Amino acid sequence: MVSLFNSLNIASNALSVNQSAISVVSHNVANMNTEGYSKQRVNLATRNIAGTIGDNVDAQVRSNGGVKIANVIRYNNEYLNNYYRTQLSELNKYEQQLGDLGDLADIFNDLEGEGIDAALSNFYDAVNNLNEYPASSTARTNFIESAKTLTSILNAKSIQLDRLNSKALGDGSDEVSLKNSAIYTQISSLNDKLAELAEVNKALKTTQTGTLTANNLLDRRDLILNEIAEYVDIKTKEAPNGSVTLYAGDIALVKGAVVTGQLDIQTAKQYCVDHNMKYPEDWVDDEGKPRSELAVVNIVDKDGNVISEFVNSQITGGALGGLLHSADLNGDGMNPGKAREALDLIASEIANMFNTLNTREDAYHIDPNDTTKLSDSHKVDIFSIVDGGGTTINAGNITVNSELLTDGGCWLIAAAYFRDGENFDENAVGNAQNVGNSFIDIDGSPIGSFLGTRSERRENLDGQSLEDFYTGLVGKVAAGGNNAQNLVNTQRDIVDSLYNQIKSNNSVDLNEELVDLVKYQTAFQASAQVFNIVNNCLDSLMSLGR
Amino acid sequence: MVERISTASRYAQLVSDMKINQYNFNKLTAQLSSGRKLTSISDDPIASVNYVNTARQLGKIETYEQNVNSATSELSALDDFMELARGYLQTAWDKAVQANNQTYNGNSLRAMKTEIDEIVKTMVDLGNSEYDDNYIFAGANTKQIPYEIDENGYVYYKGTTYDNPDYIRQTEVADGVFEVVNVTGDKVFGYFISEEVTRDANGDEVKFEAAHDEYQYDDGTKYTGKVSKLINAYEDTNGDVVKYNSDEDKYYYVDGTEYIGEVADLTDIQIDSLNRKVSLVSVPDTYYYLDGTKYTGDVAELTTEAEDKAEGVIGALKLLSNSIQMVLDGDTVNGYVQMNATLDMFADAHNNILNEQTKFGGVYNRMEMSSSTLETTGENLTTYISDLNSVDYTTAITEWMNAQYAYQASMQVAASSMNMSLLNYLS
Repeated sequence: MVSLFNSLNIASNALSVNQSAISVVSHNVANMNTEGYSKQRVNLATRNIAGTIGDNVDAQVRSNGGVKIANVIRYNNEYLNNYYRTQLSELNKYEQQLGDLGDLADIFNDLEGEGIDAALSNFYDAVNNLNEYPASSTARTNFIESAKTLTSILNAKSIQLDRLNSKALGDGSDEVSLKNSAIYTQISSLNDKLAELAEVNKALKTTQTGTLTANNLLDRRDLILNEIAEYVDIKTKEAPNGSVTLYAGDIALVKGAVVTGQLDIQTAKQYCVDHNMKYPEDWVDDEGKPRSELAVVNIVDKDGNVISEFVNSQITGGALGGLLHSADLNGDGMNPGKAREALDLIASEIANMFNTLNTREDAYHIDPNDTTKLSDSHKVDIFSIVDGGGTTINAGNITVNSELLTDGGCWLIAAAYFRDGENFDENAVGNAQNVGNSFIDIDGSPIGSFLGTRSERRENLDGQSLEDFYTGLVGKVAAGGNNAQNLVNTQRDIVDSLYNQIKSNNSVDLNEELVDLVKYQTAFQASAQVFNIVNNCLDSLMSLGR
Repeated sequence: MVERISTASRYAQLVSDMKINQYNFNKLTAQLSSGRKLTSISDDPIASVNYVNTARQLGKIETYEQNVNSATSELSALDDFMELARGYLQTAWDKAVQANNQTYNGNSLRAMKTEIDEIVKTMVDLGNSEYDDNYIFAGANTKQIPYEIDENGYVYYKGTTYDNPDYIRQTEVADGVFEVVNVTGDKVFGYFISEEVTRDANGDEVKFEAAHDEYQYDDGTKYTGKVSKLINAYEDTNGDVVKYNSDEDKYYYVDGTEYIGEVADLTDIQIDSLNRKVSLVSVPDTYYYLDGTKYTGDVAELTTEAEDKAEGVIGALKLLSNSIQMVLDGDTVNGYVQMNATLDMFADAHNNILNEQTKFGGVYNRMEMSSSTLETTGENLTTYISDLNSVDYTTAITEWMNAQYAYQASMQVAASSMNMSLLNYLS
């Protein structure tokens, strides 16, 4: 015989179960807009009261214990999460690179007619004018001024490129410039995230001790992992209690509740000083200035002891991966470091060609002391290096020889040339053979001229002329930017679609919740009704004897 | 089973769709408002590179156009000066023809001489013409006044001479195409100078060349290139040139076949860049005739005297003036012989100037033509460059309207569907 109290118990129990279920629904609705929140679902199960049944139908009925909450699960797909993180790292890397290339494209944006190309064109206009009026001081001054404009633009572009690098990685030697760089900020944020992850791991270890999962902590953990993946490409290993070991490359950064490795960054210069070593050859340009590696990332423990040093090559993804290799001269495609190198080549070739022509044998300038006469007593370079600018001419230090800028300096441009010195005539100040005419030597080889440098194919410039090489550079920057944009677009589509899948899969749907709410509400109300009726039954039973 | 769609993912989708439409709309708006298709070079790398190249080409064309313009105005000036010179020459020529009739009396001859002397001065003035602060008939010596008259009435030309190839001034009118824009005074106007002339017993002129060393080819002709350009090589016993290849440590003939004889048999020689043997030869003091042949006679038979040398129209004018003076001084026979000789000189000088005028007329016409070619090319390039980077408003506005509709529609859809849920129907 089953007692009425049993039914009363079942009804009362159902009330509390449904009440709990409504509370989960309420939690879901409350968190419907919380980033990283996974919808939780109450799994209900029948309560079974143990006991032998045999052939006893009463015993069978007695075994019905009503309802219980089996567990509360969160909607989650671990595979999707991991895949999403990998793709997110890639996206952040590409976006970082696109940012660099976008800035690069702005530097080389010659569509407005104000860039290096325009400066080169104006410079050659001036050369043309000099060819026409070799003895005119106006043409000479115009030539010098155009050369000045050209060098200033090269200097300016070079500074912009340097800034682009130091914005990302510092200038390679100065601590302050490193601290103001993007990578420094990103590494600090990343280290904070590592600490947060360790905290969550710790909480998971103490909370998730049985078979039930700490859904909210797991959500928090996944969110932190996503945030870390934006900085650097990671691998994770999950323990049964939900805590994860986090690896960057082969190095464990977080193990359970402990941060085992933090990222630390130093300037390339400091790294070399610490290691008492010279700059590795592929890190520096001719001037010994750091190029491919401007900053060195080490992994240190919490006391700052180095665990693993110079791990730049291990960090290939995420925004850090994008930043770290933005100046890498050996990297794929275009980057600020390579653009700077190409620009330096252009500057040194211009200087080389014009200096050679202006100082070569049989080239004559006008005598500043008697401007109706030619002379070869004071041959000077046209382009030189700014004071303190090192020993090799590059885009950053090229300038017009200060002697040309003095009074009468314009006469030092060697606009006249006499093939063998045979026909030399000191009065021939209007001879423009060094400037314009492609004179042919006795053996048929052309003797170079200022104007000829415009179309001269240079070995150092991949066998191209100055302007073609520059256009090639612009093309590479443009194509690099365009490719990066396409890469980012594609990658963003992938990430967006994964994000959408995860969102669709994990997050709260209001309709579902409202249906659940009504469902549990109905069950709650029905259980209350059952309770009332059983209570009435009990009352009827009580009044039987009166 | 239908795939689960959550409220949050629906919102995210709506936002992402709206963003795409907003981006498209903004991009087209930027193109329309700037009038440019390319806002950054990475928008379209190929078009950008084409644009940069074309803009440079256009810049070059502008330079050439300027060159052509300034050159044509200089050429007009040059032609005007030569035309004037030819006019005066014609007048003087007429006078010479009249004087040669031997019918003029002393007064008329005196008057004519005065007039001829004035024409000489005018010719000298024309020869000293300046254009844009440059003496245009001075060859490369544009800052040097080309003609000077000394106290004895000799007219010296100080500019670069026509036989010096370095006299030319050129201007670039197309890629690597240069046009010569000047001619020297000695070619157009000539000169009248006094110089020491050495002659042999027959009266043929010889030139003296002092003893010196020079590089010569085997046939005795002079090597005119630079000594520094000579290359060290070898000669085998047959006199064939052999070159040493240091990379392979082997000797090769210039045709590429290997020299297989003894190295000890090779003798050191120098060759020019065309592999011709050149040797240093000591040349003693030598007299040459003007055609280059050597004077082989006795040096003691040579006589040196100061002689007048007359060339071109100035030479003819001066000779005419001098011959009139000779007639006036009573040396009628020689005077009239010399006067008669000037007639041919006038004719030659006239032809000469006419030839130069014709030549520069041709240059002028070519310039005019290249000016119009440059203009056409310039226009084509301008059209191309605007095709590359200018917005075609009809298409752009249509696309912009479409983008606007799409953007509006996505906002409308978002607004109407975002608040749709079961919540609206529960009471």
